[in-house]
Amino acid sequence: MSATHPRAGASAVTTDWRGRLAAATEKAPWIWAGLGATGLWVGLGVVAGRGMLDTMEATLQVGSFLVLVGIGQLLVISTGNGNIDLSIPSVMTLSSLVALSTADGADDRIIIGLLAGLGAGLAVGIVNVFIIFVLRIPPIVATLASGLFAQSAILRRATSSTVAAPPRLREFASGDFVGLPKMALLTLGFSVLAAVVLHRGVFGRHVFALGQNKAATSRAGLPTTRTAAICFLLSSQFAALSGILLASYTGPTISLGTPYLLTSIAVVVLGGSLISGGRSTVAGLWTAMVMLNLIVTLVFVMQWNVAIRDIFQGLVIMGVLTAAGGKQRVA
Amino acid sequence: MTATRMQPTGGRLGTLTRDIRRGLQGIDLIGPTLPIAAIVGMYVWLGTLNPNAFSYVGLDLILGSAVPLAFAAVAQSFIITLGDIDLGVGYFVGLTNAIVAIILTDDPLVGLLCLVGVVIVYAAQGALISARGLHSITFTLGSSFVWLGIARYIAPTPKASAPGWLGTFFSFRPPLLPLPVWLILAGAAGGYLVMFRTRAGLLVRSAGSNQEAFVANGGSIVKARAYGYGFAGLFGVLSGLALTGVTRSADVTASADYTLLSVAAVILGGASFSGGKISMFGAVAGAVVFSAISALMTQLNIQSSLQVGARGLALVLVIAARLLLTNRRSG
Repeated sequence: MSATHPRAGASAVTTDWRGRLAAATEKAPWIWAGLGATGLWVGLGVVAGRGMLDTMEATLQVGSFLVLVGIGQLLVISTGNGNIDLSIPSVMTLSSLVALSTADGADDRIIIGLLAGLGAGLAVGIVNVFIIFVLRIPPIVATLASGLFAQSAILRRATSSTVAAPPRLREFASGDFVGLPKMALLTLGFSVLAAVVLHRGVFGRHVFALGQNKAATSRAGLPTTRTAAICFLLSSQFAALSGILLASYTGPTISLGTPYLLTSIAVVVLGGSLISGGRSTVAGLWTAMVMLNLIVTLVFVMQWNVAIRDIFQGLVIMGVLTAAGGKQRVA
Repeated sequence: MTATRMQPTGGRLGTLTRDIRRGLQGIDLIGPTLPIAAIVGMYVWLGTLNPNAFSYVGLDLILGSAVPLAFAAVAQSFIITLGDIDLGVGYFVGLTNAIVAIILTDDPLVGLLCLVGVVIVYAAQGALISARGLHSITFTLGSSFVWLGIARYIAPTPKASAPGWLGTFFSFRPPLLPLPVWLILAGAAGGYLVMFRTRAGLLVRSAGSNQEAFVANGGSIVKARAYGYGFAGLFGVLSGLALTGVTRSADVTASADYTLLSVAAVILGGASFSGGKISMFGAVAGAVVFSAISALMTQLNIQSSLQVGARGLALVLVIAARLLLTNRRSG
């Protein structure tokens, strides 16, 4: 773009250099978070003298749950039109409680438990779709309301005693396979699948078309409501699966999903996806997740106050967004 | 006017309300009508169950908790008028709660300077969002972590503490109606006056209703956002003061729900996410709806777990009713 500007002298060189940088980050918008993550990783290794591989393994273990819900949030945000899923934290908690109490700690009931948990998530997803597309209520309010419904279900369930995860499910959520956390491998599998579907498949083209211009997509005869509805349903499924596995890893609590309300959005936008939809990168979920989690590690290693962790995370999110700024105005 | 009536609006009611609204020029009637009708309905029901609900003490008890949320809803109104959404309101109120309860109690001058400081920072945040072409949702998501971090730094654990004069003020018993009613009305009136009777408010509204036209006519969108966010900061501080006055303690996460509840209240009140359209009295009425529901559910002996879901249901019902009345075709 900027290379074609008929400008002379030094300014042309600057714009050319800037243009190339802009083009590079346009192609790989996850690079900002990736650079930040690498800096923190190396810094932690050098300054704190922590084993770099150990740090990364721990990060992948803890952070996979975030990437998993992030995939769902990313699908919803990609469809644009102000779409966002605020019911994610409630779905995570509700599904985990349903799944673990159904499985009742028995290995041979894992499948039934998983199905029950995913079913609970699907129920919330269907409520979302109904409120958004039938009652035509804006997604922010709609998913907030369905999250409140799920919250009621959680509080009713929480009065019955909570059960720990079946041993094999717990082993899966915390175990390793050829040196990598099984969780990370599962999440990687879903990430590759999501990336292929989004960037190579017809469905992905519908998603991005919808995210960039709803009216044009509709006029071109492409499905708009169906595409967005599928994304909301998938989001509830990713949240349910992540919640069940997270509860198997940390143990079930009624505030299990709470931190994921804001972080599921943060990991999408920090990775370089546009909050307004139409442009998304699954790889960015990973770089953003690693960066956010390494900040937590850094604060832990340096024995700083948790207050510093929050401030630091916030400043990093603001800083990355401001640096990447400007060009987000395209839409 | 005749041309408007010729439009295929579908239903006489829609045309009628539109004409009435045009005639009243900017004074939005349908906005506050629905939530106020909901409040009156719930109150009458509440009164049949327990006549004390209408007494001075009853009103005081029921509406006390609604005061901080009402001010937070006024704050969010300024942001939503700009077409933005502030995901930091809840933690910002938590921050001002911490400043008021801890710093203002110890050292009034430093506390006052801090409060003025955070309002200026809020205004600067608005200017930065405009200047860099950022997206409000993501940027305020980042800054929310910063507010939470600073608040946690000031008040690491919940602590009973409040300035003496604030406690005295909140135990004041004015004539006719209890203090919460006067404060809620004052909040709505204050928000209304700033938004509709000042030049700065006019800037905010014009920038929100049509940004392109506003800029084309030489308006500064940076200035408009600085004003809008500045007013939001001001009412956020008032919300923090009210919260401290009601709870007489510093608890930085007590107001975490305000972020989404304030958005919900503003939309309940008749605003639209696309900006420009706002009703201050509607937003404040929306905030009161939430506390009236809790009072009614308690009186009906309905399990507390269902109260959360009832909030969601009220949200969906009121907004669906509004969409039916205004006969909007797309959500």
